[in-house]
Amino acid sequence: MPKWLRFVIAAVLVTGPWLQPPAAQAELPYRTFSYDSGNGQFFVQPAYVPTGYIGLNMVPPDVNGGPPNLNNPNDLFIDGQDHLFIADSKNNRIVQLDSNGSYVAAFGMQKGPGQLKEPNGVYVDEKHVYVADTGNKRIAVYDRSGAFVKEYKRPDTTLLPRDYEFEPVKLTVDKRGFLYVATKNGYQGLTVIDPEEGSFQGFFGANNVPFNMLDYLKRQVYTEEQLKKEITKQPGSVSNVMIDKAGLIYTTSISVDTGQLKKFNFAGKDLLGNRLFGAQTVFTNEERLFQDITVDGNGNMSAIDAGSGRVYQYDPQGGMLFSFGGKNEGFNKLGLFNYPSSIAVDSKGNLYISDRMSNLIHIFRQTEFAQLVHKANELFMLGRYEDSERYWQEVLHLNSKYYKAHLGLAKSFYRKGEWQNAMREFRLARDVKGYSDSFWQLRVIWLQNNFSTVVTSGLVLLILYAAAVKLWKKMKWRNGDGRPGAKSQTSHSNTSASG
Amino acid sequence: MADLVLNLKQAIRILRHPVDGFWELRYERRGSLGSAAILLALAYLATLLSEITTSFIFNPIDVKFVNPWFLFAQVAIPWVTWVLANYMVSSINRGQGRLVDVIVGSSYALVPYILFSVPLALLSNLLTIGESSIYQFFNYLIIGWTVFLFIVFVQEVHNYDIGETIWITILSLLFMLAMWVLILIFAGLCVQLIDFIRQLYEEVSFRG
Repeated sequence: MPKWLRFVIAAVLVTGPWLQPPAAQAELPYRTFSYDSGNGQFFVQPAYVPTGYIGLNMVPPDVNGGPPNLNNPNDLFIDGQDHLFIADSKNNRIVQLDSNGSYVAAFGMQKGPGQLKEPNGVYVDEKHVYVADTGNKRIAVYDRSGAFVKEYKRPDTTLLPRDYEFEPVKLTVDKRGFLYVATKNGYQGLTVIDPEEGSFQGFFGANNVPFNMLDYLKRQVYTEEQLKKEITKQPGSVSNVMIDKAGLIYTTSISVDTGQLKKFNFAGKDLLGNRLFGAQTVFTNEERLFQDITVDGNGNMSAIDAGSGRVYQYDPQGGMLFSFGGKNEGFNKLGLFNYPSSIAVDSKGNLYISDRMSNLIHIFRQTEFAQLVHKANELFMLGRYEDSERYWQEVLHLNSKYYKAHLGLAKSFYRKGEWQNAMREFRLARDVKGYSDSFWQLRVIWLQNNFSTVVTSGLVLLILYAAAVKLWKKMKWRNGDGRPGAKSQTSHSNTSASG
Repeated sequence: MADLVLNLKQAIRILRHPVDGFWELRYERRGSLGSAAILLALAYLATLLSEITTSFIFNPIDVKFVNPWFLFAQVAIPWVTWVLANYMVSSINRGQGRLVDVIVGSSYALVPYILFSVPLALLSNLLTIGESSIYQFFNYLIIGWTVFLFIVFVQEVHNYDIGETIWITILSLLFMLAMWVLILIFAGLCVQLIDFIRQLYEEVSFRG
């Protein structure tokens, strides 16, 4: 082969990748990240990509469904058949679309007792459609064909405080039919209503009032009049509520320092442990504004933060999976939000996110990466660590930094008793507890194998030390130094201290 | 050279007899700036080594994130401000130590830290999270010993009694804080001034 030919081939090989036409994939307008065990942020490849939108010319003009476009969509609900229900607030209706996004029906359009006024929330079960009819201060119930069934007004009871306004914005219904209603500025938590009589059953899932040293000091020092002038502290309000198949109730809260997302069991205990959700750090002029939460079939929670315009996705135990999306700063791209108001997930794992200012619903599809993570995490959560290993390996092929994959592998190695590998993976996952546990196992094994060696060498060292000390004393004595009773020459008296 | 070895031997003597040791350091010239420099370099080395060799359990950071410059600042800034603060405070409170004595003494007071922090870091590699109290105990022991030596140093080098010593130590610490605050304010104002001049220049060049 002539020299120049070699040179040409080498040149083509080197520059080849740059000579190819650029990849056709469109750049996403946002970056996807996650947090590791030490709350360090790291970027990952896209987990969800926007695939389309709903909201324009959605209602055909020949049916009596009202205006064709959305106006202030404030809540989304997806039922078992993947039908999408949209609380179209400013159009005073609930729109039902089928799984392809084509129009099915509209609720609350007809004049009469069933007419809606600014509905903000919708919940659907097999038989009924429940609507939080904020403008009429009631819950309206329809059957699935759209006929008005009944309504729930403010419960007539002395148990509710007089200044309590019943302005429902979001709601969910449990298996017994009890309604959990989030009201406007509802710092008392969710209002629980009995389905038979519409009576008040109590409040559920209220936030605590934060209390700090300064408040304590004020209470000690201030006079009663001064205390009255203080702004009354109110607990953060519950902004949204949803229920999953197992009957667990999920809420989002705003104006709280921790516990932005909560997962309540039947007894009202928060299973997520009042942790910090959303961005680890926010600037002083920003806040976490979680507006809605949705839970997929595996229990993964996706919540939308209107403050940053980002979706935060967590596993069933509240471990961070991904965060993606962003605020629309004038680029008007799919995937960026002006004010995201609601989020819903269908059976295929696609996310629907409504934007109440641009009046659109963005649709996101999982990428292969997210599918792998979900699959692996699902097996991991079931305790099938060995089965999940294969998927975690594949996740690591795509992103070697993804800490949950290292954690999954570490637990699998731990289960199998491969302590060295477990230690390595725990370390990569920054999990101190797991690392320590596997090291403990390793140390026990080492001690068991080397017990006699350790004890013998310890004894030998002890004897050598004793002998050395004896020898040293003897030598010193011979040199005429360190005799018992005599002062050492190197020690100096402190008599000149007066100077 | 022999002097230097003798001076470094004094560090061991200070460990065993701190009161006499510091007295000799000051009034019998058992220490020198050279030996102090060696001890300071060793102290920095000990910090660096213990940061690297401490078990992941007690120091969960990646070795590649250990920043030697940052560590240097972490050791050097408090030490230098302490030396200046202690010298200035004691020199107006009838302390007898010269600046050289304060530098030398403050270096020799670091000896427990220099000698024992790396062995402790190595020991931590044999411990699990359940035995963290052992690690913490030795850690506090080293810190306590070092602090004790600093107090003895103030007493012996400046020839104070115990009440004066504690008072001067507290004053020095407060003065250190004041120095940091002043330096921060000064730096902030400097940045403002530079920014102002830059903006003025831009404005003028834009109009002209």
